[in-house]
Amino acid sequence: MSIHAKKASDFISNEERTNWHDGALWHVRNKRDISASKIPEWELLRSTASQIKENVLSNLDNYLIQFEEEAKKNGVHVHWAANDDEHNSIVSAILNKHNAKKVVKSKSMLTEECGLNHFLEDQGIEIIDTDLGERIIQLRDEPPSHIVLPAIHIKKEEVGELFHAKLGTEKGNADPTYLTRAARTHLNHKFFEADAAITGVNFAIAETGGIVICTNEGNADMGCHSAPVHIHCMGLEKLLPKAEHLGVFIRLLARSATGQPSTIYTSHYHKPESGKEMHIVIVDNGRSEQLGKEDFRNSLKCIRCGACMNTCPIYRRSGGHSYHATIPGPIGAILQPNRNLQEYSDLPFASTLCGSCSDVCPVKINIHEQLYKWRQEIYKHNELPKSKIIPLKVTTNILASSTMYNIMGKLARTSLKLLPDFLLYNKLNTWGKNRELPAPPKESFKEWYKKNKHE
Amino acid sequence: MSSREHILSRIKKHKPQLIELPDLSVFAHEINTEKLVNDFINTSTTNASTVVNMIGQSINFDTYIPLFIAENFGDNAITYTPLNSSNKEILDFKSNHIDVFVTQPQIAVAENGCMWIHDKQMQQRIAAFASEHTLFIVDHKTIVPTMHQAYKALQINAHGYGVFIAGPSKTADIEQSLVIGAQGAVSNTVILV
Repeated sequence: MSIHAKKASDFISNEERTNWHDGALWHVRNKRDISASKIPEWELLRSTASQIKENVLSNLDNYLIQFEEEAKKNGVHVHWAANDDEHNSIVSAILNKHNAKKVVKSKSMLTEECGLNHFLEDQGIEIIDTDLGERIIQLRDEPPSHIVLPAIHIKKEEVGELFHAKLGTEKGNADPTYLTRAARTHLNHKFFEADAAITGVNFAIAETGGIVICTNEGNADMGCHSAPVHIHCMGLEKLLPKAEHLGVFIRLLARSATGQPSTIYTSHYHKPESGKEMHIVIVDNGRSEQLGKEDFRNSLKCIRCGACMNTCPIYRRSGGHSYHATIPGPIGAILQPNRNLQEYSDLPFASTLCGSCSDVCPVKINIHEQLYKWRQEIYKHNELPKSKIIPLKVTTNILASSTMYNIMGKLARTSLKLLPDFLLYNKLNTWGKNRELPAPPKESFKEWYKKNKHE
Repeated sequence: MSSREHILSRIKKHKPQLIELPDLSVFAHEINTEKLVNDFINTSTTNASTVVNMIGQSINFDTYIPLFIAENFGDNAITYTPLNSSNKEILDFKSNHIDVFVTQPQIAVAENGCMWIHDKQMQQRIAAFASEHTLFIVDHKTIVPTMHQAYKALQINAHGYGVFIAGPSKTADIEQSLVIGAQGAVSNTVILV
């Protein structure tokens, strides 16, 4: 069984919890629909955003050069990291230069991708995630299960217990307001103690050399404005050409993510505050390679809204952790194989190819088509498990011959009717797991058509 | 070769043929003051801001604002404002509790309740976040329909830092339950003039 299938099967073993998870995400998907339907030009926004991102990818080197030049003019330190290791060393060198021992971080999938937290912790640096959801999973020593809603898989009672153990809240109190206030007080101390702040980046503007960060909690700003040095880590695909393009993306991002018309804070950083230091780390980590793959480069347009996760019938019922990857869900399933085809060869199969992900994607990434293309790549690279290769070969033979097809059809209809349950519902037939096989029809369509074509 | 050169050369080799930027002039929106004001009030209220509509009333800010603060946040509420302030001293927010941060945004957006403030309107960036409450005085003539018009009217790099604030801080990270007051301000009041 593939890792995803195994982990998904563990997840759904608790039916009540699975339904709760499914419902919570579908609720977010609904809010997205309501929000999008209020904008008459929604589809125009999506196609415009898609084209802007395509322009960015087609001129990325020049935009990066321009961005660096402008940022430097603003007094910002710009660094380039070819991979995760280099990213971590750059961040660690900046922190060491400032003798920073306590660091606050706001949500950044990139630093997750690079494994920054553990890298810094190993050097004796305290790194505190300041987004509430991120802090919850950090205290549980778990990775996020969703890129926008990192703790969507956790129940409030569990947060209550966790905060009781770690932050000293009242035992048995699981009131979200009470727990959020406790986290606010806890984090407030951390902000003012911090020697440095680290954030991710939502958008970077080539024309002005600035970066934009979107949050609801205000945690990125609390961190950056209280610490003497702030470091912003960005994937190199985050660029937009000009400030005016932000209008398109800010309108799409929060509506697609949670259904809000915008996040509460949309912060634009160009220069550090007087007496402070600002750094930007531009990270490649496989992205420039991905740019060269015609079928898959489109996934670099992603703005990390999470809409594809909220809508995905597989994600909702298997949980983010089942994807065993930094970015889960449909977008993760097309991004991760770029990194390591072998390790993530199961993910493109974690889909029904229903296409709902592509329908909600604000930058029109053809996610379900790429999932299908990855399956072919995986076959070509011999990364398919035997449990898929053998049935595929058998099916190929059957579908290639009409005689074989007719015989097998008849056989299937008869055997479904006659075979005892233990032969139909066993380990070998995964289609019989947790579901009743359909009642077999008396005849095939072909037989029916022959009889009825003259009527 | 440095990582910078290495990355740039790989991008140059791999990037597709140039695709033109799309035309943004298609995003035109009706400018109707009454509708803009109504929309802004609605979106702000949805974002959990308290909106006080004073449009058309002549106000003496010097007396009205302190009175408003005393009535709504208590007689002893400590206020921080860069407006008319001659005090340029740096305040340590770690040891000083500020009840209300007051400023006048440059621009407001009807579709989402966003209000733009920059370095000059904050004096200290942390002030807009570490203060318990925020109070924004919005001139209704500065309301634009959408983010397109906002970015057209603004120069985002006119100051080292600028932020759109659309309400009090909030989170729904615990079981999707909305809680107002996360790491930033716990309440936001808009006085529309």
